[in-house]
Amino acid sequence: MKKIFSKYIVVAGLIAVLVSGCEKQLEIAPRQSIDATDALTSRDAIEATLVGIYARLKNARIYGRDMITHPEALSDNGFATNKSGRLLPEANNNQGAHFTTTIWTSYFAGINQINLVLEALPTLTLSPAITQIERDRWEGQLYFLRGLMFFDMMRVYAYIPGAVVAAQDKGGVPLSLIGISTAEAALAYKPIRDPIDAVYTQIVADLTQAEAKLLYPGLGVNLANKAAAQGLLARVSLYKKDYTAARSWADKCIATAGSKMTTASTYVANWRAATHGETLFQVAFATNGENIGVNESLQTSFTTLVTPGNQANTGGFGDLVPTLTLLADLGITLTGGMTTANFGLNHTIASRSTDVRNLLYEPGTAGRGNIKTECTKYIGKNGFINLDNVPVFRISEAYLIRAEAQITPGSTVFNAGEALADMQFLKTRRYTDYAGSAQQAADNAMDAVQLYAEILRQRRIEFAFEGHRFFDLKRLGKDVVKSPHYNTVAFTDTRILAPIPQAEVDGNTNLKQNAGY
Amino acid sequence: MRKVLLLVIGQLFLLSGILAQEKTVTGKVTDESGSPVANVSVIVKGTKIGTMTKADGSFVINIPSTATTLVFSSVSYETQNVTIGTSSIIEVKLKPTNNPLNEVVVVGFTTTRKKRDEAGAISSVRANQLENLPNLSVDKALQGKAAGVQVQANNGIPGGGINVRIRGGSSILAGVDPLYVVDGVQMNTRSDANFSESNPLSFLNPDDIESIDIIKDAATAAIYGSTAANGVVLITTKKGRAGKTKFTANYYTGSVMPIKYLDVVNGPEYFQLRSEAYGTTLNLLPTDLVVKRTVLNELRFPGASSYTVTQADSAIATIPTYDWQQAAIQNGRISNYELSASGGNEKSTFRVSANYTDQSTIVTKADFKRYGLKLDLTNKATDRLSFGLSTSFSSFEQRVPFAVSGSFLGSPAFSASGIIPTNPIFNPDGSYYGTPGNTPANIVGVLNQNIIQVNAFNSGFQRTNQLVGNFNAEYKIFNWLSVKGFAGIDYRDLNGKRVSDSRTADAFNRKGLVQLEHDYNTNINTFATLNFNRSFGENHKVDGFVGYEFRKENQVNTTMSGDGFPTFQFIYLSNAANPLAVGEAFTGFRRNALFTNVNYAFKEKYLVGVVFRYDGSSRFGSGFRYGTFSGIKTAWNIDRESFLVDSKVISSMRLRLSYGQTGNDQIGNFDGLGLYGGAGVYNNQPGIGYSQLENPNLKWEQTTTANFGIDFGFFNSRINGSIELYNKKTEDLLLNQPLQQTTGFSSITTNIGRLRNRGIEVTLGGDIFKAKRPGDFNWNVNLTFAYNNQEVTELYGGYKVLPSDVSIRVGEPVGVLFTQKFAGISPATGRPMWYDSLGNLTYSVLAKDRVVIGPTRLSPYTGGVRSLFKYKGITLDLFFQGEYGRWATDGQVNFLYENIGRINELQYIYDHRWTTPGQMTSVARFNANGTESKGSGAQSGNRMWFKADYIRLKNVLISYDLPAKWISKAKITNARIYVQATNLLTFSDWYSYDIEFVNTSTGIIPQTKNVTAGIQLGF
Repeated sequence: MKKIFSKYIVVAGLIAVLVSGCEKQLEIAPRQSIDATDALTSRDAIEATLVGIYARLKNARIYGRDMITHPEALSDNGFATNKSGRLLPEANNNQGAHFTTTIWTSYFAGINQINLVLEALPTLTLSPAITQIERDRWEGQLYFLRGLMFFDMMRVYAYIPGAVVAAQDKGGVPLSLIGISTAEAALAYKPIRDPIDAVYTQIVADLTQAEAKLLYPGLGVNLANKAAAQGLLARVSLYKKDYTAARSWADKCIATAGSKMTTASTYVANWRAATHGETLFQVAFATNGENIGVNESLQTSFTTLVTPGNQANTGGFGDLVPTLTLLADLGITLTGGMTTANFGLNHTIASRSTDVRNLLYEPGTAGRGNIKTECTKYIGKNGFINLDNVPVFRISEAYLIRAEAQITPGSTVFNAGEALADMQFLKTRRYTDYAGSAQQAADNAMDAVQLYAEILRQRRIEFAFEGHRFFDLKRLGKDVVKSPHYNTVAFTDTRILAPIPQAEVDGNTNLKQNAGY
Repeated sequence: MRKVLLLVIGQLFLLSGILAQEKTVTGKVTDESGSPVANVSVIVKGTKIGTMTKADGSFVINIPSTATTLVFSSVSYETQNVTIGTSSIIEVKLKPTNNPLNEVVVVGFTTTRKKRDEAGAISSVRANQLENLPNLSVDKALQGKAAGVQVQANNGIPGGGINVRIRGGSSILAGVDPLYVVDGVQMNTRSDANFSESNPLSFLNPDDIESIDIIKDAATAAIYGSTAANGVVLITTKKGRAGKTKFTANYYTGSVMPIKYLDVVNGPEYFQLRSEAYGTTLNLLPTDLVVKRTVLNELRFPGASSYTVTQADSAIATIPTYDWQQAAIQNGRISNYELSASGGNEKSTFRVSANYTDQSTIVTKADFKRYGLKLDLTNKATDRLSFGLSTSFSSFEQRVPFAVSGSFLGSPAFSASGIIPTNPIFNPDGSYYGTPGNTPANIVGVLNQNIIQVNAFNSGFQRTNQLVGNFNAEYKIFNWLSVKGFAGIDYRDLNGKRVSDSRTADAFNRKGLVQLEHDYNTNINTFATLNFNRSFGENHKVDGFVGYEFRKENQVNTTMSGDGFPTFQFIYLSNAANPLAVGEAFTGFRRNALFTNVNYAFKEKYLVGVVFRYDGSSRFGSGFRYGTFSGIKTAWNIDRESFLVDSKVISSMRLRLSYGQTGNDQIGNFDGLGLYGGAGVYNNQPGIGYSQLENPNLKWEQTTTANFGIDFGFFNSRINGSIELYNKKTEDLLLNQPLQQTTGFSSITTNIGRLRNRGIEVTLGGDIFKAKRPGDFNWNVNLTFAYNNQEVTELYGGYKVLPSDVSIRVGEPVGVLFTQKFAGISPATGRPMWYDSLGNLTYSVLAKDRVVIGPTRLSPYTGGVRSLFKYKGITLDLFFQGEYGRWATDGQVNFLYENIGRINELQYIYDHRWTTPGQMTSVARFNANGTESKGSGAQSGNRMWFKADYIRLKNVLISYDLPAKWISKAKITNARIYVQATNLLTFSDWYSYDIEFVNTSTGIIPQTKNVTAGIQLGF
């Protein structure tokens, strides 16, 4: 009996030993992530978090592709070749074919990150202590990025002040300005869409803060800088029809940036360099590891060519090409005439005007179907096929903003003479023979209405395939006239606004979906 | 864990003790043919005194003088009671059993129980149902063999992934895979492969399997608590048996063939379709010269832009047709070689086996070669101490296809059927047509790569080395109490490489691309149990076990890639001009638990069992790591009651009732933590970002199952079967609760919602013609049928629909099809129409027009019928399997269903397209823009969803056992030749390759039809 008893003790002891340390056995931590609670406690972490926010801009649904392709496809600039099938629904303005929800989801994640860093900075003590220069550099970039993100979302999902279809206006986007870092806060957050004007006020406030804190050239054009903030403020002001501010910020931008304008002889070469000389801010793709690839990069979207002028080597798909009306504005005439039937066949160019900007359009390869005239603004400039920096603001826009602000009917700073001067400043740098030409004489003879139209036309040419056209038509409340390729989309049509993510609406009764979805 | 092992082993040696006996009886046990039977248990009735027969069938037992009866029992024989007379020598002949209730089932942690004693719902599949099937892994072989077990294919790649669902799966977010346990080792079933499919169960040759027990009810499965909510599949491999060493050799070989080719249009028909498409967009007749020029120009007729009518028409007359499917999809081969030896004596047994399998499929560069070795040893060191080793090592090598799935232009599986048929495959000189750097540099159409060239030039492999094994030891403290120790490992090391050749379109401009992957996974299982089995008098019996287990898994994955190679011959990264990307990732989890299973039987009539488990998982919030799972089960063996015991009709009958809980922690390893992770790079700097919100309240998902079962046998078990009814409720459903994206986060993993599965399972078998003597005609039929009804019963916050996923709706099964209803083609315009929310016809659908259509993930009705004919040595085995009630779509063929003509089209589309006003048909008019202006895409709504009902002749086997008199001279004990075919016939209206697929099957390599012939020898 004693022996049996001792066996029980041994067995019980065995189990006791096994069970002790149970909790400890379950300890395991992830190794390529860190605990969120002490993440933002070093210089490196602040810098790396900033990098993470910039990196969002590269997404193919944002500046990696859609923010550039869709304003062309949805407007009258882009014709979809159906070579891969991409961008066809957008060019056809199919119901629901629009900017996707990624802009919303990625930008709000970026904005929350910005809010958290902005909240952490005032109480953050580091050794050595944070200097004012550092603080301004960080905060300047954070405000710049938040302003840009809100502005892009407003362009995509909401009407622009002064061009609103009141019956279909469901507001702007939620102004999320407080950082969220707990499940409780996240689950409780059910925002409304703030009024359009309130969001624009915030955008101006953010960019103004950024402008005050940032330097020029600062950290270069791949990152936020003072001139870029001024340029963006000029653009935002033009969008919201604050012409006084638009002129004033354009003035400051031009003054800060200095003589960045290229000339007719250097214009094309600048589009072949990794960074265009006129760039004040661009979304940079530094290494080939960041390549978006053969399906969705800007190069593949716009051209089948691998290198300019070499029709023997096919690279991408060339899914979106200039429409007949854009070709006409660019001064390009096709062999066989500017008809849709001829447009459907292989393109060769019969003649070009003296506008150097049309040299960035040329016949592509036969490798993906019929040859079309394609845009080569993105042609693997960074040294690898499909790898291109994406300009967001070029200095020429400051001149065109200032011209438009002073020629728009009813402008508070109406001044046709200065508008003409800015336009001619641009034109002498874009036409090889502008000085003394018949065109110059005609420009000089224009009345204010004609001049306004010509400035807008110059804007279409200057920024074609750079992601402006749809937004320009939208802010002016104009119908999208897509003949002869597609049907016209009236400004009152619900397809002018992108849908906000349906899951957001389904999960929050405070939030209203845009009309028509 | 070393501590545990040492302790267990130490205990085994420390403890000893022998009990004294009195009188000696010896004897021999044989079967009907007179061959000795080993391992028969010989027990003095009413006591625990017993022994086992040795390899020669002999036994020696010391019995008390009061003993009157000896009970002889063994797994596959009927139990016999023999009265002890005056003689001290007893000879016994055992009859083979045909009552399935006498079989033994595994109930967890390597403990086995007699089915008659077990009250849980356990389905078993035996070796003879698995043998020689040309399946590389056992999961595929389970299809239709056990009621309520659904097997679906992801892919036809040899060695492809697992998709087994038991009773419908019980979760939404958390995994729905069952737990696989091989000889006690809980397997990791994640596939970590990037370049080809990888099936973690393909390490095991199905022919090495002795039996598979599938635990379906929660009360029994609760012993595995955390991982058992989706059922447990317990696999027991073949082991050695005492006796003369037996050898078996097995070889089969055969062909792998496509189930079907898709019927696509020829060159002239394609031209017609494309002309109609352009006609619509250009608003011209398809016969207009402008249209003809446009299409001929697209098909690269030189100078087509300026053709006259006559020139165009003569060009059209010369449009050729090439069959790319025939070029890309060919027959494959399958060969399998096996050799095993097993035997031993009463002290030690062993089994060694080796196998080599080589299987290719219908698309080359996707194949599978396995080299497998298996060793099983047991030893009885003393009367009380025994230990064993069971190991399986296999190395498999797969060449990698272009892609496992997806719409990749260069992928033969995707593009073969869609390439525009006017494209030649070869140039007249035999070189590949339309390749980069040549003229033309590609072929016509969206699918512009010469896939035959791409497939020939690309290369790559995936090599997996896998070791699964365990060491186990058992020490009998008393005759009724033993302690067991177990340490198991499942180690997997996977190397993969993919080379995109610089001569192919995808890598031409980047001068070659090489990607590497290395992945290793270490999964350690250990447990210790205390097993008891004791009778108290005649009437009371208690058995069961109590134990502790620990499991840990670590996985590390590294990847790297580079491009820019000097020439196509250089395919090693050292030669790459541009290193592109490197990656390294770690993940892992820990689990531990205390568990017990106690069973009590009264007079072998009334059974009750209790299972309890205290379970910990590292995946949950710190306050919720431990969960408690328990179950109770009862059974009433009615056939033991006096009123049935002598029945001529009812040979067995029992009722079972069980109720229990299991848990589910199959979520991401770190889903509950607040994390900052890598967030890309920008401007040559690395970024980080807030990647996940913390949820400290994350806890176990719990599934409670009530199960009622009845087992029956009639006419001396000539007919037998079982019926199960169950109701399975899942609470605290793990779900990604969507957050407002404006918070900066998309979702948080949390417990919200309820799900219910309920259903019925019927298994019925019997001899329709029963042989009177061995060798006479015998026809046996076995049928399984299951109906499962799944329903989401509650979602958080009172939502009726999950805001981020409309396929998760209260009152409907998970993954229900919720979309607009297709209303056909307008006879007037040829445009597709749908029903809007008011039931009116519309060209353009809105979100509010969506309605519930039906289930898409799992068919509610499934079943299988196995029909086995035997006459003399000839066996004919037919196995049919089917499903009913699911909707499915097929991404691959949906491309061939477009009304655009940008790629080739199905003949069906050509035959049914709308061309003239007034035409009633089902296919919209062609339109080069794809979608009509102000209309929805032609494939919107449920247009491309079809009923996925089918019956398939899954397997046919004809075998012949050579008569003993022919082969005995050659010292061969058995010889069988056989021919086997799988997927021979399918009855269904399915429009694509294979109905069995789940998910969108775009670009997958489909399942195949296999015919094999083989020979099996034993000596």
